[in-house]
Amino acid sequence: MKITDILSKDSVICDATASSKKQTLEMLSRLASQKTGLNERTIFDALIERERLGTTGVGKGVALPHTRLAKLDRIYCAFMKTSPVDFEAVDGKVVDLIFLLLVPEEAGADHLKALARLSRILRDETVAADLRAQKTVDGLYQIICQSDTDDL
Amino acid sequence: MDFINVPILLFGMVLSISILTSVVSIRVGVPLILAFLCIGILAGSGRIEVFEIFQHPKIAFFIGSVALALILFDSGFRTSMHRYKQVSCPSLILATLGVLISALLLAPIIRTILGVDWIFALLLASMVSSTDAAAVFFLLRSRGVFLRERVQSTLEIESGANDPMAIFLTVAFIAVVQQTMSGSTFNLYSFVPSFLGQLFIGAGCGYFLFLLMRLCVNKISLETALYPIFILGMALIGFALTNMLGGSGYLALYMAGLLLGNEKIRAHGTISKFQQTTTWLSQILMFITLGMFVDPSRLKDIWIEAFVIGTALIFIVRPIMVFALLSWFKNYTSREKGFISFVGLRGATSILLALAPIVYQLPQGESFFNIIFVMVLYSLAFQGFLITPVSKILGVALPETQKRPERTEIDLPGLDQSSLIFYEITENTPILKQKTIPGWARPTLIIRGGVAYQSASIRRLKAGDKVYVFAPSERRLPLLDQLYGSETETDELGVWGDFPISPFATFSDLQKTYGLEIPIRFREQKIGDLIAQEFPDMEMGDRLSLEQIELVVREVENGYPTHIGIDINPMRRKSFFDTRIKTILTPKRKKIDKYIKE
Repeated sequence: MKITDILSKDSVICDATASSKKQTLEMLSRLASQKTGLNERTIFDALIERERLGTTGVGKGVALPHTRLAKLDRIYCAFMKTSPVDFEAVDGKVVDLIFLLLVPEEAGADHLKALARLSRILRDETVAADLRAQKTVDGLYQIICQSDTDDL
Repeated sequence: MDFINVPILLFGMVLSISILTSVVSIRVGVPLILAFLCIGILAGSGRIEVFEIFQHPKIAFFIGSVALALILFDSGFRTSMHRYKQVSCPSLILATLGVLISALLLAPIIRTILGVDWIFALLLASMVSSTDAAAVFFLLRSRGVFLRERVQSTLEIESGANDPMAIFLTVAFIAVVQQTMSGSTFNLYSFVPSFLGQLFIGAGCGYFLFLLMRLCVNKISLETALYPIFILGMALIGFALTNMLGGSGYLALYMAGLLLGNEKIRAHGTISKFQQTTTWLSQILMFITLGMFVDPSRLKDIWIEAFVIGTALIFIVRPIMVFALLSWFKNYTSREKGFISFVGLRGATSILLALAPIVYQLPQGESFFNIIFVMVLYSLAFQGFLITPVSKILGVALPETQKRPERTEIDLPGLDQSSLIFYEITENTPILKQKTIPGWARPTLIIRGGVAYQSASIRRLKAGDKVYVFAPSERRLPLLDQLYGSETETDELGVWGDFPISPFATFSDLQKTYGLEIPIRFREQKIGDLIAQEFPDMEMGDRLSLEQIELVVREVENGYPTHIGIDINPMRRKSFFDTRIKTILTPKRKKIDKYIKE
């Protein structure tokens, strides 16, 4: 499985303006709802539920909100570059790079691999810096696809 | 007794001056080997009788060959297998196909500029077709250029492994020249078996040499200081025998070094330290010898041609080769490919190979040697000087805070990879925030205000302390680096897991979010409680494995994990580092426990 299988270019948002963690999750839920046909509220609630266990703001400006959803028919991924928001991240720093991952409930351990892959991409500081320097959706999408390598 | 003393005096002076140059050259940013070459040129142009012996092509060729063999053995020895595995495919393609392509692309340029026959153009091109391990290693490690590991490994392995190919091409083309000179027709097909022989006999002998070295070192009890000499002797035997059997001795030594260096052997630290010195000595001797061989007054005849060819090599040939070959691998950005193209320093191998036509008395041998020599000087000076700025412009350098800590390998009976690691504590060092330091991370020695203290006599570390920490194996290093490194250090290997998770989350929460199969008896238990129960003497870094994921203790307070991480890719840990792990879902238990699946 590759990132390109689960992330399409129309699920990449460049330079969003958001004021809070809640707002970014709302925006992502709305986008995901349009693309997957699931109820926006259901997605948002599930994401908030996951955040309750511990923040997905992993530090260095990066967050990876994720959850499992019933009735979802495929693994869905979205990416957003936003104005810096307080994501209650582990290092207390603001977040501007966000990967969203939604997985079908029956996906089992498969989705862990996808999550690990996303986490790995943003952990790489050069990739994160490259993403921050991009101004267009095409640019962002290209960097993400390029950094998706199997050997890491 | 002057007939001994004068040569010894001169020789000692050359050595000492070479070393002193390093102080200046590091500061100025000239590759050290360029300095060695220049000292060689100076010594050689002085028409000093003592040095004239080195100016005999066969002697220079002999010294150079032995030195190169030892350097390659050591460069293999120093390459860690896990880095090797990471990038072996792109590097080895660059080191084999890349060398061939470089030679083929450069040959038409040489032919046009020098107006020589195809075969001579190919011969010249193959001499400069490989990059120099010594130059690349030295520049990457000493110039404050910190690269992403993948890029650095690619360059180091390429430069270490591409000499045998260049040597083979050169030897092959010399044979062609000799054949055509003697009037017999040149037959391309006769090279295939010879090439395969070099490759397979070389690799086979290398492997056999490794087995023999490992057996001897581990079975024979010797004074520790004697092992490195023993290994040196065996390496020389292996080199010569492989060549006699028709294999590539360089390839054999590189391979034997690579395998041996990554093996648990006795006296690994002593051998490693000795070889570090031998490598330096070999480099100095090789470059000085090769430098002495050149006659500076003859260089002015060819320098423009050499300069043009060198420019073509740096700006056209190597970039085309690198971009073409690395386009097969998606994990290099174009900037990284650009940087890899730039770090194509030529060095000793090229000059050594340029001696071959003289040794074999081919026509124009001397002018070829001079051209190659100027090209190497140009490559070393130009690329060597600019490597730091270029790495910054291309944005491939990492911030300097990520310097690797200083490590000293030590030989302890029964512990083969143990080392002492030196860290400086700053205000941002993560360990200062810890209430308790785990047993495995406690410093052996603390230096505070110029006084050395034992760990037990210092209650808390503070900024400004310098500590030595003992690591019994390499697999502890990632954890230590996380604790003692700077705060900004990226947790590249995932020592602390991917996400934080509240200790008060229950296992059914995990089940819900991650679709894990959780035994019914744990379901309502808080993860913090279970970890505390499983590890009565809990330390940070301890892990509870649920097979598909692992829970990592990030911080401990009064025996309770206040911060927990969740690692969703435990395979990474398995291949890179060790820590204390307890598994609560073993396959055996699976049969007994009843599982709930939603």
